Amino acid sequence: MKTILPNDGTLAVLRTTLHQASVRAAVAASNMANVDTPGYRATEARFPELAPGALPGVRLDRTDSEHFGPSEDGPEALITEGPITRMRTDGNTVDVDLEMTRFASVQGRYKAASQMVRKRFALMRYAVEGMK
Amino acid sequence: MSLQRAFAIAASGLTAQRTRMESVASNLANARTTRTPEGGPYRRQAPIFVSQPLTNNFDDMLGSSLRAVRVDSVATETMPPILRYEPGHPDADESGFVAYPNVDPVREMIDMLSATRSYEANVTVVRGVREMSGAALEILT
Repeated sequence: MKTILPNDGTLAVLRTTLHQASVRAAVAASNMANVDTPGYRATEARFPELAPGALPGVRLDRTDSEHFGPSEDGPEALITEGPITRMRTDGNTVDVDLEMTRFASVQGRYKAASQMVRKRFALMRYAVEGMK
Repeated sequence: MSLQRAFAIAASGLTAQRTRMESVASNLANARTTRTPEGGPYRRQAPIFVSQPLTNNFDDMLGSSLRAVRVDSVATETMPPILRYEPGHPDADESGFVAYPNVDPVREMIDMLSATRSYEANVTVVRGVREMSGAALEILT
């Protein structure tokens, strides 16, 4: 029997999407805040790809509270120096246009994913309550 | 949660740009000030920005790789004052020259515009993150 419990695959994937979008928003905020800091190098977030078939958020059983495993939010972000698209004489590499477009796209992705989570719960509610 | 971090970083950017704006205001207001408590004419103030990790907590990998901005200090520029020949001025030296602050209004205006735009960019980030957290709150409505 198929489960539609909240910890199914759909929600796990959406959770990762939301997490990654919020990390990317924080990185964009970091670059925008440092737009006038001399020598600041713009950063970007990278997320390692999951192995095929591996579901984010599905973790191994913990038999001891000291054990740690993959985060339920999916793979950890790697914050690295981004590509240099422009460089000022003071060594700052923040590209405002690039950051703004990235931020807008991240915002859109976050909203889309949260809408999907919402619909997923609506579906569950429909199954529980029936059509009214 | 990362959205809270984005708020904190954008807030640091707002504070930094506001400080910069205050320096511009101070420079423009004192463009012709010939007397200061330290003696001599007013000297141009310029804030020094440094980026710093959001947290110093080693467990928080993300927080320590994200950079907020901080005003390290407000530096006093050491440019020599501009000397103008005004023999009647009470602050004139023996040869009749008055030392005026080396404040260039054009440079200050450009700095002000740049600070305004950077402030707006940070406000845009705050607005965007607020919308994102709003979308998260609507999930169960």
